[in-house]
Amino acid sequence: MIMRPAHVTIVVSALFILLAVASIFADLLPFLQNSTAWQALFKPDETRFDQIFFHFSTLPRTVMAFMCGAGLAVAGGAIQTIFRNPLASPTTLGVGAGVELALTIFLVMAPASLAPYQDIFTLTGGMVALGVVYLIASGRSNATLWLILAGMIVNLLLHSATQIFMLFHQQYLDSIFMWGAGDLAQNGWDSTFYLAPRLVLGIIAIFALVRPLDILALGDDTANSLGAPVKWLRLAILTLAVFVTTSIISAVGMIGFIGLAVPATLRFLGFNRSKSLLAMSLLIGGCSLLLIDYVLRQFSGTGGDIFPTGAATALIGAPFVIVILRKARIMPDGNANRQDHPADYSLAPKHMLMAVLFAVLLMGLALSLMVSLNEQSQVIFTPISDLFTLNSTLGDRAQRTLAAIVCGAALAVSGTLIQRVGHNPMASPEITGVSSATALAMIIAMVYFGFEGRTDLMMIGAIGGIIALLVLLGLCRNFTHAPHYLLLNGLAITAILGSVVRIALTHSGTKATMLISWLAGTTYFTRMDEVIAVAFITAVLTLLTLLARRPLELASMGADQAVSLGLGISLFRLAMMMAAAILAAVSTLLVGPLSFVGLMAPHLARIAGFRLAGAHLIGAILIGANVMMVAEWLARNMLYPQQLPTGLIAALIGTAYFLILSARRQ
Amino acid sequence: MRRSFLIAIFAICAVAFHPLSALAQATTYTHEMGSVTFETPPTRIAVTNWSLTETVIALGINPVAIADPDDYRQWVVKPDLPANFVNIGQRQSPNMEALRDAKPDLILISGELAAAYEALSEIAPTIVISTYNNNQPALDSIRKATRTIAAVTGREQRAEEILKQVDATLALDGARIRAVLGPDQRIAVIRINSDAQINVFGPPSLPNTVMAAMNIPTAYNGETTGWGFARGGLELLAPFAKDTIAFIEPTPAPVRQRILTSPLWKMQGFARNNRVYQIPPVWTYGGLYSAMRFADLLATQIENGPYR
Amino acid sequence: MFDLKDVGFRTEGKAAKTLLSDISVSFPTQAFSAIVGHNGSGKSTLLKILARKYRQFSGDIHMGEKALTDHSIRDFARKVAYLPQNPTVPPHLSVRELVGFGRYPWRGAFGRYRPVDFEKIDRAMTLTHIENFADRLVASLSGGERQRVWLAMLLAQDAPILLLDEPTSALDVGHQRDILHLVSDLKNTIGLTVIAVLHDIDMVGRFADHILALRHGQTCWQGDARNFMQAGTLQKIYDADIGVIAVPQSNISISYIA
Repeated sequence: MIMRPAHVTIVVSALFILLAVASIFADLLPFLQNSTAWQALFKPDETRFDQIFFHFSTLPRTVMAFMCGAGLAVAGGAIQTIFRNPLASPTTLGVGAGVELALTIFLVMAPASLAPYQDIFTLTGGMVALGVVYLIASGRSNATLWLILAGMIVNLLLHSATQIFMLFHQQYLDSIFMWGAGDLAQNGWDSTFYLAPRLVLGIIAIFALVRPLDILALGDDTANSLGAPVKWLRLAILTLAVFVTTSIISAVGMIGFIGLAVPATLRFLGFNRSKSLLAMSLLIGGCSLLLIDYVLRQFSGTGGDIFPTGAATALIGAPFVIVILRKARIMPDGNANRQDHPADYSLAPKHMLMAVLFAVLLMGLALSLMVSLNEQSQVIFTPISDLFTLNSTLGDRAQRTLAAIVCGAALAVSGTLIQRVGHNPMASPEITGVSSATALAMIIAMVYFGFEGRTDLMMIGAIGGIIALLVLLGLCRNFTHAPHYLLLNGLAITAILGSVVRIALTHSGTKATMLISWLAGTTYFTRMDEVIAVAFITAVLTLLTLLARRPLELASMGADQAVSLGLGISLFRLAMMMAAAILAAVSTLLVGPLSFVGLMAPHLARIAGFRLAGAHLIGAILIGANVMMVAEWLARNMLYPQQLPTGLIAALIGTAYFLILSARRQ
Repeated sequence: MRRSFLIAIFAICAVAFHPLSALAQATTYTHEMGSVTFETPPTRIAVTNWSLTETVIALGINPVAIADPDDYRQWVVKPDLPANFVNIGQRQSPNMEALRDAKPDLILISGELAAAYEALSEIAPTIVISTYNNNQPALDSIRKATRTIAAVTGREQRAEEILKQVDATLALDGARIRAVLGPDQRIAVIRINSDAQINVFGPPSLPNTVMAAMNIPTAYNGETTGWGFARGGLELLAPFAKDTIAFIEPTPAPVRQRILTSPLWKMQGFARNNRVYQIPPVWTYGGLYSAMRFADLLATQIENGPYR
Repeated sequence: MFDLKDVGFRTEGKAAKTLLSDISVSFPTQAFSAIVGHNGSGKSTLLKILARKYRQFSGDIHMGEKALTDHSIRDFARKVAYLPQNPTVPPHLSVRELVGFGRYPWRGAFGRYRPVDFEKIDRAMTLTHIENFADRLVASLSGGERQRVWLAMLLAQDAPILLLDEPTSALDVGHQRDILHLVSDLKNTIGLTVIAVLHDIDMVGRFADHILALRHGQTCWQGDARNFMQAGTLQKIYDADIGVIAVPQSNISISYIA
């Protein structure tokens, strides 16, 4: 660090305060010109709409932006300190998603009489989510990484649940949706007065605990030996941080990345003591959200084009986080590849298991075609005779089930390649953001450039995925040793995807439904020719990777070894990553970007004992295909006649699996 | 996630139906995405969207398959759904199996389901009719759609009756409203979206085209999205201080409460002048019955007096 | 085998540092060469340059007739086998499978292994005495056993040159001796050229034929083992008071800290 914190403090905070004050003056300017500023600020003329608007919308919105930014940054700073993890934040650790689900359920289901208890309900939602994330991560050798991974998984699980829930309350979606995008718009001082006391209390309480916070930052053992009741202190501070976060989220919705970026950046600038870190977080967090909101307000004007603040902060914050955390090098260096391997691999080949999986797949295919549920959840068998008619229910089912199976296989291969070549058992197209980038490319092509054909979109998606992978490889020059960066990247790209989707949705109403169904991942619109095309691509690429299983195995020994043994690793890695990206792209169109099969199938295959690259690939394919088949059947029948998105169900299965796995490991 | 607008449609071409040959027994109809041929008028009709559902029922045919019937009862309300039909699930992804079970001889979809057109055509002849989101005045679009469906199903006479009924109803309701508000009082129709967001219906929307037909001046005539409304905060209503505001239900009670008691609402001219009316649920993206229902409800509520 | 002329190496980036400069040396063929020096003297860097892990060096290096960089990846792998300091242990491979990868340069990605390959694998395992745990996971072995497995893989690679980066650093004295003894034996029996970075003075004196000593990235001394095991030489290389005693009735000398 060249500058000392003291200087940075003065320069940075002065700059932010100056800009914030300037933005308020800019808002006040018209009133200053006709000397009604005092009125506008404190006692608006009820016949003048500009004054009313300033007093009841602009002003509370400004105050609100500052409060929310400050609260989120302070909460984020406290959480980061406690977990000693610069990637921890209310949104990355599942708190946001927990509150979102709780609040969605509450808004739609709860009778008016329960309204006063909304706070308790959402706080519980946030705490439970955080608790689950913490439980998964604690006690692991690589807790830093697992915390973030568990956060992503829980986020995804809760988000899928929220989406499925919302699917059945579509007509209220608009309000929930805007809320999900983080809307700071105000119609009066009510929300401000609701939020202010909660935030002030919460933040004062957190500040009262700065000394224990500093002790906790030393690590549990040290803190314990210094006589601190670590467990209780941690619980107390976390509860406060979550309380602050939930209050903000229930008031204005999801505002991403402020709670992550601000404290992380400040720490990078040298604010290591909790007191100064939190104080600066308060100031900088508040001012930066105020400024972001000010800028966005200039674009939103009347006429309906809305740029939700929350979505925008994620859009600004995500790349920022990548840059700053890369520079800061606060991520512990470490190789994550030693933990998910059972030490007692049996060397015997798993032919039997493979045969069983294959048999299950075939039987399952037959069953899922023949058996369905009706509206009363009674089991219905489709007559065999239906098999021989050309256009039949069986034909429809086969089309969709095959699509699901093929995508499961494609994602499994993609995930296996990324895990093996990336040398990272927690990587997958979903986690590294390749799938998100694919979807992002498709959405931008569709909404802003008017592409409609599914083949075109698939190509564009594949290009997007490949670019994302190349960027990823560029960012993490030494891809193999940077599991954190992979996660970080995935986190950021997924966040960017989320914001772009929300922004695209508020703009291009006409294609909204199609977008949503894609993102949720439905096989509904799949046609047989598409399935065949995807199956063909998958088969060819799988065959090629199976042929290349020896170098693939070699790649898992690390770049140095591979080169020493005569494998041109960069070229090979590039080729494999291309294949992975293409596979992710073709399946994204059918099952959406967040199915988690690409993470789960290779992982499960490895745990099942498929050791060597070839067996690993085949095992992963079989598992992936089976999982997607089950997901597809559930999607079609669970709530018959409603058709759920297969991708969402697969995500639910996948995340639930990880939670169970983690619970069993404890 | 604007599934609330599922029956809104993204079609490119206008509806263009014309019988090719009056002489042949089989009649062919060209629509937005192709053409279909019928030897006899279809009777078992499956509908995937509420505007089409309502139109088919209005023509006196009970659809054999209907999407999202539960929400229909809450958001569209009238005309009543038939006693027996197959529920085919959500409007954006009607269940193919259920649809097949219903054994339709005609499927009506809007352009929104264009991606499923081929698959649906395998089940039964499918006609694509987009009545919204095509920058056409909504009332004209649904008049045309009603005539089209009537032609296909052989209910032309009933269609003419409905069209006459629409003209009469709108004229009557227009007069009722003018009787209360006077001839120059402009009305802005809105939906409350969230704590901070509203939609204001504009020129191509059903409410505004209906009001135009009723000879009621409309307050908002500016830019709109494909669905015919502008979306934004309450400041969108600032220009309508001297006008009348009608908000359409259903709205979650707490959301309505928060909007209507917010200073930014209460201090605006229309609220201070007590010119706010609550309209019971009516489908603003519906067919001719919804148009008439809107006119009736608007007139009735204005006669009943302002909200609270 | 390797002829170096004025070789230098700088790290890149803002805080660029010169790690090696003006190294000129010839490593003899079919001999055991050791690179020694204190910590940070650049010995590993030099070995990595020879193994082509670092490519931005200055100066000129020839391997055999050709410039070092002119060999193709596979050609190089057939000639040079390199053991890094801390090789990544693939957690899921058995000993035999890992050793089998030594044949990769000869069979490539798709070529079938022939009987001759299996013979070489078996022989490599016999030479390194690891037949007994051929079917165990590498990850389950002790440090010394693992080191022998890696060595077996290098042998299966059938390259005339072995580059070893501190092959004995994590081992106890007995294992150190075993490994170096093995390497030295192989040099004598198969005629390998071995270049190793070594820490232990006595092991160097005992096994190495040719020694290159580095200090602050520059050549500090080079010569044979007998001249190396002299108090004056060692003091110069390690900048510490080191004495040497000759063991009676043998040609072995041992060092001690004075």
